[in-house]
Amino acid sequence: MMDDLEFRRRCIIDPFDQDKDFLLYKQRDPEHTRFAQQQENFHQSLQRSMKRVDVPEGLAARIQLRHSLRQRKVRRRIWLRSAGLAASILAAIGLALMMAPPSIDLQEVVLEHVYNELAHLNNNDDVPMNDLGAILSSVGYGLRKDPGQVRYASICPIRTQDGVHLIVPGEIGPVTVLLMPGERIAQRSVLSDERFTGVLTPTPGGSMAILGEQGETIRSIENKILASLLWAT
Amino acid sequence: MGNKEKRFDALVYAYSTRLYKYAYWLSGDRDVAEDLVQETFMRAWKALDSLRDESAARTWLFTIAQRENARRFNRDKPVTIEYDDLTPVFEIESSPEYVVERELMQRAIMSLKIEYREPLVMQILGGFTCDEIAQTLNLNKGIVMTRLYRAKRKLGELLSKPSRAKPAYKS
Repeated sequence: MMDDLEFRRRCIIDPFDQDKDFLLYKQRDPEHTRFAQQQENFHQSLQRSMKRVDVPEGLAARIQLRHSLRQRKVRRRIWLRSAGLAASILAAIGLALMMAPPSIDLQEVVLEHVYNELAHLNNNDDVPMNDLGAILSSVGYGLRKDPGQVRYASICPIRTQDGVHLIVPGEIGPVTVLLMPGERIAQRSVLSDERFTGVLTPTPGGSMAILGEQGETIRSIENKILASLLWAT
Repeated sequence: MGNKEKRFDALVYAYSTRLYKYAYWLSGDRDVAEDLVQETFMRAWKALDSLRDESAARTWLFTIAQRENARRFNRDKPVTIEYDDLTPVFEIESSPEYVVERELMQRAIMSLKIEYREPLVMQILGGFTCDEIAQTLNLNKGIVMTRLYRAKRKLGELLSKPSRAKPAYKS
């Protein structure tokens, strides 16, 4: 049998309780209804607070990307097992590299890096040439001439080595440039997904990835960067 | 794209935001919250065949997230944040009073011990009933009700104290 104490306790626990006895008790007395309404308001206030949390931009895309990278790895492992060779032996003797162009792994690394650092696309700074030069020299590169506006520049670990992550303005939107010393690739390849388009291109001693929004003209930025940098200091 | 992939994508787009907020309130850390959501979906993919009914997806995903959080943290060291130490993660509103109120509420919620905060967040953010919370946390329903009661009483006390909010905007 419910009493006031029990009613108030249940109101606090769950003011939206649909139990018949609870509802009857609530409606029996205006004071009960008023108390229940207070608890409902408090519940909704807590709910508003809990919902008002900034969710990182691109979260769903990053989840999908990581999922798709995992699935590619799983499919490759299955393929290798079905070829009758242990994946570890293949990795050790480099056969895995022969069976799939190495740039596909690097493409995945580049995409994941970009998606993990989407926030930098909103940078609107103007990185001074001196600062840019210092960042480039820390990975063994230099500046031959002014590459134009650079909105973001930092050292970023890319797989086993430090690279340089730049954001430059494109015609449609911000463009990511990843300079990856040591990541040698055999040939230029196109890099693309639902959001981004770009290239992965060899540079002296390494490679460079350039990624812009779908529809961006990548070639002019590629040529400008290639002409502006000193590739060995 | 296969059916399983389509189902997975649909779940990601439907629930990643809600799961992130849930994970944030459990962990108190934005980076950990994102990791938790990633882990949750990774496990969800592996167990997707066990989800027979899409209408049960919310409870199913939140349960996976709760278990990932339990796995991640040592439950003997509950994650709590001192009432005065938080920086706000809320969207900036135009009214300073509104921001202060939100900051106070955030601090109060985060100051609860995890054993009280967890069922509270499941109820308020996840929409779980007491029965569902009990089942997910593997607790007696009476214990869940007691914890919800204490959590809300504690919040009521904290929020009725004179404001200890720091200025809403940091220079």
